[in-house]
Amino acid sequence: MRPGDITDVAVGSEVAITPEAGKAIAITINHPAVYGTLSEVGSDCVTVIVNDGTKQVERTFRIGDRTAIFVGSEDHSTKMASGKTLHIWRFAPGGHIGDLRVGEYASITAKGDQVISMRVRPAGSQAK
Amino acid sequence: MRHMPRSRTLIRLLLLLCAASTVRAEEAGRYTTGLVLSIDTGSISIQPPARFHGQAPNTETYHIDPLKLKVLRMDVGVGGVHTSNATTTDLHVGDRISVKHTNDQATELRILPPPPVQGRIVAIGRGAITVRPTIPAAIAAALDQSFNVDDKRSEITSSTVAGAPARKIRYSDLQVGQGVSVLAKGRFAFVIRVLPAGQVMGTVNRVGASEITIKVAGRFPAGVSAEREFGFDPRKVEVFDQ
Repeated sequence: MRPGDITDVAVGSEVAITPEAGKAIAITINHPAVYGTLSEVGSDCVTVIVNDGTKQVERTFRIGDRTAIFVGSEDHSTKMASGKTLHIWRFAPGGHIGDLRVGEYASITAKGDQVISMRVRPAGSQAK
Repeated sequence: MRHMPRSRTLIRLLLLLCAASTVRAEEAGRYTTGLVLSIDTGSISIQPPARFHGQAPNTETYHIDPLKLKVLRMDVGVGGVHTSNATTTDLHVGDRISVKHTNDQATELRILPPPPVQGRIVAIGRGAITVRPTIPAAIAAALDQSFNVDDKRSEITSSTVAGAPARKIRYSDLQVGQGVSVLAKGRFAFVIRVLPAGQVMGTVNRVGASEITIKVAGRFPAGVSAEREFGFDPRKVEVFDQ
């Protein structure tokens, strides 16, 4: 989360409003997340392969000083009655672009192509 | 055959990537939190909290190697939680600890501070606040906790929205009814965080210079409008991207 601008609030935006005495004291713009696999990690950008349902598309996002990176590690796993294994992940804040690896699974929240925050998990850990 | 070297390189690259991620996972280890049930020279048993309502408590035991084991104590003080070195003799039955382990071998033990008290401020006195914990109302009043506070040693912060940067406030800014999380040692509150108020989520239908109308997310009964309009002060309203 980072400070935004009231001019970015547009019709159709997903928002969360914090009311106080009937007035909005804060408006949070919820940018939709993009899920995919990291295919390239540069010095200030990442490329993600996103499956849009019909085809795979590559999207490149810029990483800035204020981008929050959360690196995931498995906290524990539980065998469910159905036979499936439930994996619980812990995402540590304070990650750096140097922590990212090609092949990792990422969920990215971006404003335009600028990443606000991203969470990554090791390759092969995405839900099957 | 011409493609063999390229596919071999790819396989090597994949193997290297797998090895790198395995090494990273092993270095990280896993953490389990619980209360100390017993400790001796070769092992420690803890009771993790029940994950589901009504779940019987279970016990987890880890081997310890006193020569390799790292023990840390996390203590509440001025500015928040501080970590210092400790030894296994500092551990007592009933302590809340976090065990870092690889399989059954404990590599690090952290003696955790008491968890923060979360609740609502019900009274503000001279240099003290009383907090009613966020639990069923019928028993909450009996568990009111009073904490001493002062602006010099207590870190008091507030954030309008969950996840937004917190700003420092003063003791005199606290109000009865605010939701707070208090990190204390004994009866002194070293850290007080004023928790953000609730939010209304939806899609923007209209936005003006000082008012916004949203279609609130969720299902509404027939005849109940899902639209809500809020006024705002354009100079004061805080806007965040997330």
